[in-house]
Amino acid sequence: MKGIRKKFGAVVALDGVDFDVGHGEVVGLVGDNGAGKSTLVKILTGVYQPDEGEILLDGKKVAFESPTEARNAGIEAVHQYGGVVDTLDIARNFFIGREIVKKWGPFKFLDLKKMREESLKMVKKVGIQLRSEDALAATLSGGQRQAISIGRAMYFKARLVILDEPTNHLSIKEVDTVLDFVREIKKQGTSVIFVTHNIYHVYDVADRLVVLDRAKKIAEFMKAEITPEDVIDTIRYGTVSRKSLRRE
Amino acid sequence: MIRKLMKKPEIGVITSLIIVFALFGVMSKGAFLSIGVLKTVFAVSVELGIVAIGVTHVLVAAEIDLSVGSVYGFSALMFAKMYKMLSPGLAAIVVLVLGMGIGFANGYIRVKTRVPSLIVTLGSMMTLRGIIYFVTGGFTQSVKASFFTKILGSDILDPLWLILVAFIFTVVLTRTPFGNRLLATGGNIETARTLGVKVDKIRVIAFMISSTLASLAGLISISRLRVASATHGELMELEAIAAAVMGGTLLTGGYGSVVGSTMGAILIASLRSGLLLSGAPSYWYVAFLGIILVVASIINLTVVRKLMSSS
Repeated sequence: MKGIRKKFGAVVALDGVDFDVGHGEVVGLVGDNGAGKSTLVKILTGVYQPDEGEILLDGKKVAFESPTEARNAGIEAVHQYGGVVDTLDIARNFFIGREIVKKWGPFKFLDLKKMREESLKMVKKVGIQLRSEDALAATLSGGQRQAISIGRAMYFKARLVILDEPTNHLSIKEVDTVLDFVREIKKQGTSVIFVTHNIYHVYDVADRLVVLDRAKKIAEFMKAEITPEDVIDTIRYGTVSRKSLRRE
Repeated sequence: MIRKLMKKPEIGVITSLIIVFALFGVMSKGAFLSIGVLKTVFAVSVELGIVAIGVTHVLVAAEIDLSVGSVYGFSALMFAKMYKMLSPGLAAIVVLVLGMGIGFANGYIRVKTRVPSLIVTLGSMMTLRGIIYFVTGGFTQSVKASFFTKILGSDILDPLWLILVAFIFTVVLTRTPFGNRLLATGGNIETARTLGVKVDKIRVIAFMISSTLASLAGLISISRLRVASATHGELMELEAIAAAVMGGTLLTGGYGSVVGSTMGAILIASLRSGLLLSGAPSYWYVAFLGIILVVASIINLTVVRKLMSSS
């Protein structure tokens, strides 16, 4: 992403932000509330269109007019509340908008059996235990709902997975599952953007950390050159802090 | 098997239906269960049922359609008016297209202006009723018997119409991609939107289904009765919504049952006839309707809450 600008009325959400992520790279996107992180994510997922600037995918210029276009390009997002509909079961949730169908002349019917098989296979692969396979999403824990979103991203072979505050409502074991998943898909060459407030979680798995503050990118660190505390201080004080290096 | 049945949200209305039939059977000393009475009950069920099935789709989308009673009346009366000018078949097609158009208008205004559907459909309900009074001058309309009215209004074929509509829309709601997306839109519109569901288009279609089916029911009613007053269909929207809610459809959206709504309609129709037969004062009907609505809804909501709880 180059020179991205986005305004909402008089509020400047993003002011000339450059951002990139490579194949098999995990980039942590951090910053305080209102910094512009979620706007950046929404532009990447096609919910918003930038006022200025361009997005390049593998060197080619792209523009996403809708979430569907972003998803067709291989960008999947996992949101903090699981991106899941309470009144539906796992199979239906998994395939919302992209249902598996059986054709009968001019009519398309849901292939519920296949939807169930494929979704449960993926969810189990992500490592979540289910008490009941036909349960409605409302009965699932935060981690299980996350697993549905994650499984969805894996199933639809996302090239870029954006995790939006994924560990916020999770238990310790569930957090481990999410971080393991990130390490796993990184090995497979998938790019990951990990948006969070929890510097310690993302520091564990990230290769690079980008800090946004008040609509601008104020810092970019390679993990090796920084400690989590430096990142926290950078956010806290609004200026780049490398206390760890100064100690040497 | 019983366990599985107990888990279905429609259990509330099925239980109520059995109780009501038993109660009225006894209270009327068997008269309730005679062929003549059951025929009337089913006739009313067919019309209310078809309207309720239509409304169910709108409720699933977490919206509401208060205009169905007016569309029902409007369709019956427009059909009567056009009957003299066009052939019955053509008049029916025009009426159905008008119904679809009203549904489209309801849906379009709702999604574009973002005015709540309660207000939009309240407006169309009143506007249509006004048009009805204007066109009929307040006078009752009638149609002559013909082959067409015999098909739509026959005692034997009408239940088949209900079964056909119920079957088609059960499949639509539970076994098609559209149905899944409708459920998703009503269950969590933002999630559905981010996942690429065209939530506006889906909701407009839901309103069109509701109005078109209300139109169809209106046609069936005037074919059967062959007369309709200017008040035809008044308060029907409340009965239809009550039928759907009794049948397990959530007012908050995301879940609905065509079978449940059909049973709810049968229940309400039985209630009307049963109370009449038992010699109860007619205003008891509305009171009983209110009580049964709340009781059946409590049962259904308890079942739904159990399904949604983490225990």
